[in-house]
Amino acid sequence: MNPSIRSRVIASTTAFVLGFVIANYGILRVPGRDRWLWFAVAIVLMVTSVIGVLIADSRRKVSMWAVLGMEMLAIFTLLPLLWTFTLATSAETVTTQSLLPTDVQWSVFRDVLGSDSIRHAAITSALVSLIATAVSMLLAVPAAYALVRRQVRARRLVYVFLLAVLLAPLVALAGPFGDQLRTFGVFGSRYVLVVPTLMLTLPLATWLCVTLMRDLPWSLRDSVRADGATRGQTFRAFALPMVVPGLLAVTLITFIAACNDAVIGATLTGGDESRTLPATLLLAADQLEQPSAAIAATGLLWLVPAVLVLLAVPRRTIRLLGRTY
Amino acid sequence: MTSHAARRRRTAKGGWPLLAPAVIVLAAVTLWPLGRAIKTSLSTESLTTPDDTDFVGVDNYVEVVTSLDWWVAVALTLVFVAAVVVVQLLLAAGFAAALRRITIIAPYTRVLVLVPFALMATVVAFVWREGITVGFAPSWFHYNGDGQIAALASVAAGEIWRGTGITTLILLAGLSRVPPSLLESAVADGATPRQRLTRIVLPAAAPAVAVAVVYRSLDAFRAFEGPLLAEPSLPRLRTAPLLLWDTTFTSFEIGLGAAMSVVLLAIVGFLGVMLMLLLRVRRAL
Repeated sequence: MNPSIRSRVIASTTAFVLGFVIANYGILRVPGRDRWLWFAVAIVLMVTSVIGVLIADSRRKVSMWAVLGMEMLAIFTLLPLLWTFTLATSAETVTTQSLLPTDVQWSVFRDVLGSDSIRHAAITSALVSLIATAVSMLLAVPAAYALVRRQVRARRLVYVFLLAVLLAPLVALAGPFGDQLRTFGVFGSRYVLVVPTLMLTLPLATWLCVTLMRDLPWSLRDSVRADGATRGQTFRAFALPMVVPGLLAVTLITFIAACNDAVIGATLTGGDESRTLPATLLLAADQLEQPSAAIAATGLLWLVPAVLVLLAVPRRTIRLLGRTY
Repeated sequence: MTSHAARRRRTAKGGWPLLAPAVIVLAAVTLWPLGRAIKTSLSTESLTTPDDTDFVGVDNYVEVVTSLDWWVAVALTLVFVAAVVVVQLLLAAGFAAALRRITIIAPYTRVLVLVPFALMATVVAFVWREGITVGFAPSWFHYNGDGQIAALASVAAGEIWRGTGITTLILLAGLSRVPPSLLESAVADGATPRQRLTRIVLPAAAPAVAVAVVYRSLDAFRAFEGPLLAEPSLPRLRTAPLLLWDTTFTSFEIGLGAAMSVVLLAIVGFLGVMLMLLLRVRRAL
């Protein structure tokens, strides 16, 4: 469907007015080097508007509104990331006032990587999340298969239960959970955290697996079987290309979600030796002398593997997230 | 695929043996602490005086339900949730519409959408707190970041930034259910953009919007890192989960905190059920 000339011209005008307003505000009100940031945004918008007018009557399929929306998405996502970077590398002792980094100090990344407490917390987080994710996947895959492919009594009840746990505020269950662990005398151990983390990972993994399995071409498997394929052949022809990438994606998403949770780590750990990474950062925020650089740098360092992992996930399984979470 | 066809294919019997382990484990790790919360909430228990535990019946519940602080916290949480979800939906609708039209750079846009999800929630909350109360925003827009309004705005901004990507994905899934042929024939028949939106796009994408509202509302309701980090500047404006946290883990009033937990879960459950009924969420189940 080709966008009309009218819609392109209106989109170009909008982009121009926006760029004009931003440029003027940048000149008049924004202090220091950040003015250049405002200029850059304004220039991008104005170039967009020029291109929009130039191609207004062409037969290209590109929609100027969509281009404008993409630019907004990029600005919306990247500026806070740039701010995180500035906060991490700022050399000043008070929080810097400009969003563009002025005096980049790379040493903070080395400090964070070399810090014993942060490394310990990161290992705790990864270990706990890994075990919880592995256990959850082992339980979730057969459960999702049963929910999708087998006759199950009270199926709706199971779905409601899963969804309820998935969306419940875990902080409400953390207090009693801590009580229970204290009664058992195991409070404060690193591995005990796996049990409460299951509250988070198990419903998420099951829910994602259900969505994944609903989409599978089961009739293909049925016909492969009807044609007399052996178990090994069914696995190679059906499971390996269709199921395994999706399951891998579910595992990675569940793992990232488990690593990101601060509530369980902050409430159910006794001392520094068992605290998870988000909880350590949360408690550091108001205790350390100069915490902002360390927190922002840890976040950025953590972001790199997480983004690589999400990039590795096949594109069609990204849609999983949209259909479920 | 219709649910009828799906049901017909589920011929194999005996799903429960496969399902049971997951359900049993999930029930064990959630219903056990819930039961314990109910039991604890019926007595006065405090970590500061562990021997002084009395059965007091529903006194803790009466204290929670009649406390003004608690209802202020619940009301504040609901206002916060409403504001966050509305802004997220508007932003995400725009982003999803743009992403749907632009397919050539899809692998990179995917990263853009997922970056806020991959950054730790603690870091997001902290970075936004610094940015809006002391950092770039006060110097750009010339306001004083010490006030409560700036602190509230920073919590909301962090939550909005973190959730918009995932909302975009949900709405994108909804938009992909809009049949392109229907849109093309609408254009051929001379439908205005507004008519196309209200007669074709919205009806087809409505289930996704409903799911997005329910999920994002309940997720914003339990937001925890942002309110906790903003607490020093907002001592009187605490959200309900934060008040619960303070009661249980700062003042160590375990009995009262457990009663709050039960009331909070009841409120969230009521909210979820009401939203699902109002928005007629069927796809979610």
